[in-house]
Amino acid sequence: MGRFQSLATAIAGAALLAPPPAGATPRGHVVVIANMKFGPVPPHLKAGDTIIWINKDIIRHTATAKDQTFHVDLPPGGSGKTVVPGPGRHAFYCVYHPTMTGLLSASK
Amino acid sequence: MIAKTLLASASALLLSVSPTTLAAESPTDPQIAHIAYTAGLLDVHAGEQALRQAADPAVRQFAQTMIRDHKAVNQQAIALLKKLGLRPEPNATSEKLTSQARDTAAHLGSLTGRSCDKAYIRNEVAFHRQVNEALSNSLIPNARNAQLKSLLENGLALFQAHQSHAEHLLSQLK
Ligand SMILES: [Cu+2]
Repeated sequence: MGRFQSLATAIAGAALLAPPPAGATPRGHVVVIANMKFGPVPPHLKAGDTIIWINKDIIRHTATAKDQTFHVDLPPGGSGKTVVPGPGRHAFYCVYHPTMTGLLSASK
Repeated sequence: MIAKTLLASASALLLSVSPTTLAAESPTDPQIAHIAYTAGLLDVHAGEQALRQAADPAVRQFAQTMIRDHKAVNQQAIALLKKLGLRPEPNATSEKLTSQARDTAAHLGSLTGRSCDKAYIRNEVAFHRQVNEALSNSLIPNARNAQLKSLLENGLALFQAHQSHAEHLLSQLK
């Protein structure tokens, strides 16, 4: 488990300490990477939700927040999980291929 | 080096035939496979040399990415060629790439420190540009087998990302 992932876990843990508003069970979302591009990021993400990143390429990628709120290494044909960070807009990229970028918006 | 870059730009304008472009008139699938595989292999070797010589952490990370990515694509290529029963055929273009890379490696070997870092990245820009032009203008249009064509197209997307990455790194190193 990497430093960023531990950090993401810690953030998720902290989010659990505050009682979530009724009906705000954390949800799972999927972002697919194919042919050197991040696919669409689902709208209406909430802090504490989970994102599963699926790497369909034959090369290794990462999904890494520019503000360092999440980071996960994605082996070829593999996947990884991160927790949606606190409310706001979070730009992300692949550390190996910095031309691969995306943006996610999280609400409370 | 400058002359090489100029030639590459000039041939980009002409869209194909020129001594430094990698455009055999209409390469066959076995020739295309050999050119693409050779290009990948040469870039793995360049990356390995950079790891022995380069100092800048961003340059070293770039070299590691080149080694990993080009190895992965070439493994995929080998698997596909095996499946198709296609035997890569050495040709003038892949030979040209190889001798060019030999010169570059010798030049890089004579450099140390910052000038070595820069020379490696500058060459990566030129090399990926040259290979991407060949893929776009000759190898992909001439590929007959659909699976080979598709592998080359995926390779092009990857190598274009490499080229942009190298261009960005070069601007940072100045
Ligand atoms: Cu990547």
